[in-house]
Amino acid sequence: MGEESQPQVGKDLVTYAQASRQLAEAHLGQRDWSGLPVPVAGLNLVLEPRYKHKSLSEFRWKEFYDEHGVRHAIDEPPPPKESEFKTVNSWWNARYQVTIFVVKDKQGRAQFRLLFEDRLAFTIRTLDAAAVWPVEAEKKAQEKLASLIPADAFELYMLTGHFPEISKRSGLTYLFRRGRPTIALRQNEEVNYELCALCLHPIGYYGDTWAGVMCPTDEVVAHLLMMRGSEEKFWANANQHPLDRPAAGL
Amino acid sequence: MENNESPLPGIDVLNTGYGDFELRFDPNKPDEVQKAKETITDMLKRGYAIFVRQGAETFRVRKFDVDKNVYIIGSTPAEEVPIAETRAMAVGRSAGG
Repeated sequence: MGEESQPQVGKDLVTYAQASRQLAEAHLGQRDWSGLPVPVAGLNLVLEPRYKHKSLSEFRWKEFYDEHGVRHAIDEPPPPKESEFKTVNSWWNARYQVTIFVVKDKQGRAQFRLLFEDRLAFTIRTLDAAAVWPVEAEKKAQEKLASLIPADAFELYMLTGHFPEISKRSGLTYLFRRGRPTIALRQNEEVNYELCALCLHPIGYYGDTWAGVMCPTDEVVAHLLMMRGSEEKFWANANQHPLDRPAAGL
Repeated sequence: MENNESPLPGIDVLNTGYGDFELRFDPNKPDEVQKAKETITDMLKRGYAIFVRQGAETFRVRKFDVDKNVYIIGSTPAEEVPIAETRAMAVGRSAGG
C-alpha cells in the first residue's frame, strides 16, 4: 500500500464518538431523528425489536486502527457450540450473589450451574461503551436537563451524578442517576423502603453494561419525561432490577 | 438555563450524535408548518414518545390532530396543545435494559 493511500487519523479514520455524530448528521435527511446506534467491538448491541435499523445489532467490526493509523484485525469469535444441556429453571440467590441454573441433559438428568455476575466487569464494559458518546452531546443533554429541573436539583446532579424527584401522581420518590438505572423508593412518614431499579434505554443499549446508545444524561432526560408524563408506561417499559443485582448499579 | 436563543416552537429530540437535536419551525411559514406536521406524524407512527409541558405539568402526547395542528394529551377539547405554542420533546422507542 502506497503512502498516499494510507488512511489518515482524524480524516479517514474516526473515533466511535465521531462516527456517532457523523452518522446522526448523515441520517437526519432519512428521518432518523434519534441518530444511529454505533456498534462497539466486543459488546453486544441490543436494539428495540421494531427499530428501523435493527440489523445493526448483527454488525461486527473486522478491523480497527490505532492512534498511529496502524491497522489491526479483530478476530471473529468462534460460534457458540450447541449445548447438550437445556435450562429448566433459574433464580437469583441474594445471599451468595449468584444466579443458580437448573439444567437437564439429553437423558433428563438434572444438574445445577452457577453464574457469577461481576460488578467490576460491568463497570469496565460500560467504560468501553462510553467511547461512542460525543462529549458535546452529553453537554447538550445536560443543558436540556437543566431546563427541566430546579436549579438546586441540577447542581446536585452535577456534583453527585444523581438527583431525586417525587412523582405527583404516585407519591413515589425517584432517584435519577447518570449512567445507572433509576431507583424507585416509597418514602413517607410511615414507610421508607426501596422498590427496584428501573432500567430503560431509548433505542438500545450494550448488553451487560449500564450504557445505552445515547449519552447518559439523555437517558436521564428520557427517564424523567417518562416518569412525569407517563409513569405507568415508564414502569411497563423499563426492566425492573432488584437492588442487589449488579444490573441495578448500586 | 432555558434556551432563549430561538423562541420558535418545535420538537427537541434525544439524539445519539447531538444529545438533543432541535427541530424548529416558523408558524407563519406554511411550508415549515407542513414539514413539522409530517415530522410529528412520522414520529408518532414510529413509536416515539412525545411530551409537552402545560404549566408545571408534563404530558405524553396521545395523538396528533393534523387538521387542527394540535397535540392531543387527553380526551377533552381542553386537552389540546397547539403545535405553534409549544416546544415538545421526543424520545425514541425504549429497548428496556
